[in-house]
Amino acid sequence: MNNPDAHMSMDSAKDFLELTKCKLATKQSGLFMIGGGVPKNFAQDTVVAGDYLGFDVGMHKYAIQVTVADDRDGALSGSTLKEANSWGKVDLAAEQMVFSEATMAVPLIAGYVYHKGNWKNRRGREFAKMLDEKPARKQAAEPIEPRLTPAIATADAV
Amino acid sequence: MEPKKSDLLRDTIEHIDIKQHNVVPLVEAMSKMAFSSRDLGRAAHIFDDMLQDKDCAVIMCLAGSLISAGLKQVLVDLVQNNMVDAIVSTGAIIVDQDFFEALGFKHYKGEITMSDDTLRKLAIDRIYDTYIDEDELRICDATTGEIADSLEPRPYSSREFIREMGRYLQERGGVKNSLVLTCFEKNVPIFVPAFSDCSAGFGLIAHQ
Repeated sequence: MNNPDAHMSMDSAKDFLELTKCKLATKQSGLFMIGGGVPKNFAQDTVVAGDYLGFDVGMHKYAIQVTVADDRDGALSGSTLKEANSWGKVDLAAEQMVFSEATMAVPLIAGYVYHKGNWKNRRGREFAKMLDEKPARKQAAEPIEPRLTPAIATADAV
Repeated sequence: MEPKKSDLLRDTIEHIDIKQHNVVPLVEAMSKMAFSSRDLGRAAHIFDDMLQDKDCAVIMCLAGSLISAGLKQVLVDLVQNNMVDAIVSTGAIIVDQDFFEALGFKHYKGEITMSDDTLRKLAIDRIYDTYIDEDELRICDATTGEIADSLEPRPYSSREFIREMGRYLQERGGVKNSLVLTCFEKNVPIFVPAFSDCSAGFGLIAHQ
């Protein structure tokens, strides 16, 4: 233990707030889930988080998941996206689960969209710029200016 | 005769390159079948719809040993081509697998029939049919500790820490095909809610 009195630490609530800010900064959202577990629930829960903070936040409009987890044990990993709808997390219109191990299904799904080429008209949202309010380094030369969208500015005021 | 470490860590896992295989006709044909093929076809169509929806941000969720299994280039290509706006992942994928490979280490093809006692004596970890050099993984642990030591003592989101990992790789130079580095360059945040539950956890306890 090198720094018992003054050390950096991990703040998972900060993660949750930052991810929720990403969700609040966009009109619609879609989930591409490979496997289940904590990442699946964390992303789905941003809808509930936004709602809890008092924002009118829509459910995830699109959701696809590749998994071999079963839904009958009640665990989150295999819980259907239809089931997530009962929690107000996922819209029912465009959801699909694929019962497959990832190395089989992911190259096909990703390869399909890559060669369809519809991403060529798409711009990345660069959420990291929005979230980088101050540099993490001890001696950073230039502070990075936050680029706040209106939704985020409101979220910050909470 | 007992194998040597170099005998077992020889054939590397190669990452599949979706750019080299046009699977559009195959997936369209699968959409007209039944069961998992049709499910997969529908999922592919939904993902394509997401990308055409101008109002839609895409969050990619990752769990399981994906990068050690050869899916790294797929994930990098999705980020590189603006198909993903945020990532939520397990720590193992980001640190033990991606950052580990970015430091120059590899995953190796292994055998599920191999004696795990032999592997343990040789400091080789096994993920089903894949081998990892535990000694190299320790270097990965230590590197995350070094990054932690360079930071102001305060609470961080995993997203902030992983961004520093990306900056480290950029400054180190010579790193290609890393999800952490590509996300750093493309300003795509990576969130790992259970960050201490991976190789970085060892570096962080040493730091603290």
